[in-house]
Amino acid sequence: MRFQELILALDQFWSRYGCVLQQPYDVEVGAGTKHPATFLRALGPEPWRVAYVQFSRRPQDARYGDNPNRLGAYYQYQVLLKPSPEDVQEVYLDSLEHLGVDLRRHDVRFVEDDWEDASLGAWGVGWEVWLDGMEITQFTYFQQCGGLDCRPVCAEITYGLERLCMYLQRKGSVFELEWAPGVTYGELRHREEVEWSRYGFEVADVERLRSLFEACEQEAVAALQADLVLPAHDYVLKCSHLFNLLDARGTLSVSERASLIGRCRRLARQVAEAYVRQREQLGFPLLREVARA
Amino acid sequence: MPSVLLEVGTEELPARFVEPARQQLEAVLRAELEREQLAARLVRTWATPRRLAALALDVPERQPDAEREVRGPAVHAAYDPDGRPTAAAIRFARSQQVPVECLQRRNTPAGEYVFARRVVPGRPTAEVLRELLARVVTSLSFPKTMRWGEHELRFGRPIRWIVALLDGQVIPFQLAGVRSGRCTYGHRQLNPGPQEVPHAEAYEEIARRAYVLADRRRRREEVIRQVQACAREAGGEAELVDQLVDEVTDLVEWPTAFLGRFDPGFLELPEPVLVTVMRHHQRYFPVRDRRGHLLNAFVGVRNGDAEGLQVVREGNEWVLRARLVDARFFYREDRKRPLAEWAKHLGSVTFHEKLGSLQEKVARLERLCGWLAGHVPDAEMLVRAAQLCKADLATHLVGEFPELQGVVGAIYARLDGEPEEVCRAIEEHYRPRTSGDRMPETDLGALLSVVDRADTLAGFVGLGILPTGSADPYGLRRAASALLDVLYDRRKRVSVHLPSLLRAAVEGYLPRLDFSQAVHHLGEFFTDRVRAWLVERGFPHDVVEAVLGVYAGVPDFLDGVDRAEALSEFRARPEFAAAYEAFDRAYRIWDKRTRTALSPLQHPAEVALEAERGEVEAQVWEHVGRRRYLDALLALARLRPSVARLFDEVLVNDPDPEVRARRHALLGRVVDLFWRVARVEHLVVGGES
Repeated sequence: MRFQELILALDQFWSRYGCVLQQPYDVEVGAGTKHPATFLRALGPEPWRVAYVQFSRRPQDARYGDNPNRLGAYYQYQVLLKPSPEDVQEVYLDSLEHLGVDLRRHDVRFVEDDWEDASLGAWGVGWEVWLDGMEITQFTYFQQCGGLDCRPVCAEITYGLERLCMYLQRKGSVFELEWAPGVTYGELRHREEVEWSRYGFEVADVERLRSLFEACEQEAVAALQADLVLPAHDYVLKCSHLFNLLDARGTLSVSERASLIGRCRRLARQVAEAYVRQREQLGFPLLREVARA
Repeated sequence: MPSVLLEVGTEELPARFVEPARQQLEAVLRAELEREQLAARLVRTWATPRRLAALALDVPERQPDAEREVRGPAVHAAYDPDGRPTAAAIRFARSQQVPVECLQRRNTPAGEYVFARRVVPGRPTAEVLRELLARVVTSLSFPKTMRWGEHELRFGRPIRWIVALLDGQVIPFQLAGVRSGRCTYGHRQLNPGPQEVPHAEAYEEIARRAYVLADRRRRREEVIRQVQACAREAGGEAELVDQLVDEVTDLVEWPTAFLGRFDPGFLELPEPVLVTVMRHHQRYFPVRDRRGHLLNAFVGVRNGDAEGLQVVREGNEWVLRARLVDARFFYREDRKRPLAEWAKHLGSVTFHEKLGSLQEKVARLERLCGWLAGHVPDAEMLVRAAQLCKADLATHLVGEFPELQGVVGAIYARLDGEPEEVCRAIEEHYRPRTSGDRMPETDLGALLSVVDRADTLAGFVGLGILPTGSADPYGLRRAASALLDVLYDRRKRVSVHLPSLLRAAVEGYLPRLDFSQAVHHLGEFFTDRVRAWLVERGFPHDVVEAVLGVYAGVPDFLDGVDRAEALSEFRARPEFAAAYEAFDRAYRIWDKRTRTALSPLQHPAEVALEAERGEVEAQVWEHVGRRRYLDALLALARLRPSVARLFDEVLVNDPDPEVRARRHALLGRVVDLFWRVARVEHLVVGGES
């Protein structure tokens, strides 16, 4: 199964299940969780089902494209189901069958792995899912998001597309993955890995990044003051990405690191609260949709 | 007599939750049944990642009837002067459902009252169980709990089904939207169910037929048996570390072990790296040949049967290969330069922002090791080990496998041709990592371990960063107890004076730290830590306080241990009573301020006491100088008769202030002599506690 076919198959499966298929977000993020379709929609009482691919940047994991298993950016396939369905594990396993994995002939395990993103004030409990010893999915029941309790609780399913595809194609290097007929993952992404590694580890200007962080933080505050939740969220994401770049540069002291994370988290919390307020003023429209259906 | 079955079906519980939850389930169910007077003859329990189950055999059909006595109105209010029941008595009798003539009169401390005795019939077991079983489930606790869906109940993982049976009868109740019933579910892939359980006692067999080996002990034995069989197939032995066996047991419901192999070329990787990848990251059992060398083989345990086992094996081999390729990549990058080169990168790694980089820490360690040079013959090696001990923190491999810090450093140092003593010290200086972990085995490793922790504690505590309550984010208490453990463990070979060591460690931070403030903080912190250490070793609290009272600031730990041991032993000796009496009489009356005599001794009892004291003092000085505290205490016991004589023959608080001061000063000197060994006044003696 080629990389693009894997995405198609997951889209098909989750669309049939009743998910809204959304598109990747256009601000740099470290994980699909930060997309407003997850981070914001996970909040409040409204039901929600969504699936999308998210390009996720992890500057610290970059390896100049030299390491066959490590990338500074990769694709996540993100599913959010709210409230978490009673049979969510079975549905997830069905999605693997849909990808052609005969579960009877493989070993699938749910191994404890809780998740936390301090910069978002978010945490949950769950598992990493192992397929024959390979971690292919992160499965999380959100308990808190933006510092707010999740009521109801949602289930987040995050497929690591490269990992899963390497397993399905039995490729030893991510760059050898067949993305489309005759086109490899490496052809599309290797140069990007090299350039972003050099940028992140050698070129990025720490002082400039710091002042960018502050500028974005101020924009987030300004947007919040005008009650503009989504622009504020974008600027929080930018702060969080700038923090990741600074962190990768390895120059942050322990307390500066903690302080930057704390600043992101405070903003994320304000965004979360403003979002819930806004939805409440709208009368939680998706609750009405359900009532009508 | 009937049996009760309770099964809670969950999504996969973390392996570490399973066995503790099983034990709790057994205890809680037993206790709840007893509390309701429905004690079972036997309670059996089962646990897998997806279920916790218990069977209580032979419980009564119903609770026994209970006789209950209820107090009613006072007799004078219950009967009129003619002895006829009043309206109050009649109302009370009616409310208790007994005829009014059956009320009984009885005296109580509050006066005479009427009482109703009635028999409360026991409830049928089935009825009691409805609440009892729900209570059992909700009272299970887990290290971490969660909510799910729209429910408020907290549990280890979501509850998906509940089986509750009294023999063949369903006990209905509901938890988090799940209704109890008689259907269980089998193994996820092999027989997902539902399966009806017709009778409580049929549970285990039905689970087994649905490919669930629910008996944890049997499942564990099965894992061990299969893993060893696979390892033998590869011509070796599996390394059955208990922790991994337990974890694997609770990751599967139906274990099937398989043997996998990897390219022997990977054996070039240091053994701890291979073992860590296999054991910690993949939960595989490494396989060793008869001489203990790793083979290029591993044993995994699959949750399922043999169907498609070849696919599972190939998959796991492929995954392990990817991990090892990764590790080899890091290893080869690391080996492009010697370990000493990596140490140079420590300048950009922060130890703590107010305490500088790791490079600065290493420089301090070198200095401290130099300071300790007198304690070991090979001081140069100790300094070399200090230079290299943190270098591996800059390497790729430790970045990837942080649990291998120290181990990787030792391996690289060995490859660089560093002396073996240096390599071992690098590896051992992190020990003990946790309480109960192995101690450093070499003197150099022990000293480096002590020095590293002394430096860390001098820095953090010196800055005033102290653990509060349960919050100890930098693990300072742990570091202190490890330091004390190592000092104690080595005491016969290397005796380190803790206060001087810490002072020297603080000097290494100047001018980052304020010297006197740091020493002050360290004094308080270490007094607490030594106290905790001694108490944990079983020394009584009063002995510990008596010993700690001797020190100002940081206690001389090893000396304190000697004193505590001597004092504990002395207290069990016959001489103790005499010594204590001498001290106690002197201490109680002495006014604590008067230490110098203004006039020469005159009374024979004064002269005799001072003469005795002088002799004992010489002995005490000698014994204390050699840390023979028991001998010192035995010498002190000699003072009793002359102290007693003083009290018999003179009035200590003589009306003449000059005489009084003289006698107080004399007694003060007696007390001082005891204080050379311990602050004896802290001891709790006889009926005084």
